[in-house]
Amino acid sequence: MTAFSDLDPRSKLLLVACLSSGAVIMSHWAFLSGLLAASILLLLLFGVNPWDMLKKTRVLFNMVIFIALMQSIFVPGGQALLTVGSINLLTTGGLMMAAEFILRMSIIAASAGILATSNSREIIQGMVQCKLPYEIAFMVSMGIRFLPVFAGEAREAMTAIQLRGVNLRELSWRQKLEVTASLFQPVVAGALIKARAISMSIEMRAFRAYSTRSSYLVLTLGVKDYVLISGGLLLMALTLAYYFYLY
Amino acid sequence: MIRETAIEASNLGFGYDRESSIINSLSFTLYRGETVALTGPNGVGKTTLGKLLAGILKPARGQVLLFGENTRDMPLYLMGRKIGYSFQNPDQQLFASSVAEEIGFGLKYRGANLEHISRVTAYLLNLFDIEHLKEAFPLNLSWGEKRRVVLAACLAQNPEYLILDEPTTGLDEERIKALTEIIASLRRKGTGILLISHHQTFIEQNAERILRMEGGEIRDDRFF
Repeated sequence: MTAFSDLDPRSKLLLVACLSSGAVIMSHWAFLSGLLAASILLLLLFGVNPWDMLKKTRVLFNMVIFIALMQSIFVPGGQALLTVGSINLLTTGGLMMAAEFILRMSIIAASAGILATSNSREIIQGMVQCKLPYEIAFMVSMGIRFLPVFAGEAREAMTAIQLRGVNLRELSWRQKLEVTASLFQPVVAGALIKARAISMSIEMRAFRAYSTRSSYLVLTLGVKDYVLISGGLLLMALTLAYYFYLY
Repeated sequence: MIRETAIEASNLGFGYDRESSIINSLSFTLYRGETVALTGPNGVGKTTLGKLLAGILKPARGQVLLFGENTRDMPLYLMGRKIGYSFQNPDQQLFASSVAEEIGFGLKYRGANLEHISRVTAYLLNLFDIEHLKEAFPLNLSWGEKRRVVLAACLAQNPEYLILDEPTTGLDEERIKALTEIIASLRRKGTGILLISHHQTFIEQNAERILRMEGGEIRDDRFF
């Protein structure tokens, strides 16, 4: 627990919106590194250990690195660093693109970590009080809750593959690609199956039975929230202004 | 008769966090060709113990020797070549795009030839009565069907030891009877088996020894 753990979820939503929008809008490693540093700072402020988070999402992170490297091979640019025949396998442009992709994904993962410091009920309430329709708010919060589930499923698939006696280091590149595809299969299929089961389950509990909903939980913004919201917005505006007009 | 040791646990301890311990100083030996049932109330650490023996979890204290080798020093893929482990929830170990691929996956990536993979897959599809599902997507199957696919995939590795966590869940009486026959034939072959189960009749029909867990300890170790 830190002094900022009890922050209103709307403040967290706004900060996360700033970070993730910045990660999508900006495409320069220096700006993205700055955003990642800000995300890590916020994680620490909310009492989340970024190192523990990285350990928990290791498999997902490995996948991101793998995709980034593949991307760097297939989208070359700049100076060639490694060439086989007439094909440029590694280029400075490709590597830079891979680094930017990894930074972007890390910012998004850190944003999810920030939101995970509030429970789903608080997040939904925060969105509803921001005038977002309840159904949409509920779907977004479900999506956030699915992120650790995806990471867990990828980890389980990796364990299951190794339990079949498969040593990934012994495999050829083609086989490694096939095995990596197998990691995605349970994650994607699991998400669809779970989404179907959850939608059925919530409909059975009279979700959307009435057009309006009352709520026992009402969120109020405190001084810390106003400070963090205004500070975050100001910093983001300055960064974007610098990125578009001065850089 | 002197029996060959398969798994030896000594002073085994484990907890999911530093404050609490779910397994406390367990010491016991499991033998090759022996079928042992691990029983006890929910939440006493049966599944955790199974995962410690299979190398999925590493002990916090003590050690597990698998055929004389310390599991702490063994990567998971090497454990997988010696131990077949069927999870309590079959969804956790299904990842291929078809049932046939799921069964032959380990063999394929361990360098077996196609003819051998086809032969083993066909045999196991027939043994578990899932031939009609061979092209089906494993995660879309019923619980009982998934369970049979997982068991088939475990046996495809020809493991020296088998750990089955709640293997009868979702299986009808006929399938449980078929599983009993498979276990008997594995035992005759010399494969050691640890059954983590609450199914009393199944335990009585298959196990020759029962380990009863309570409070993270083995309270009873008895042979039939």
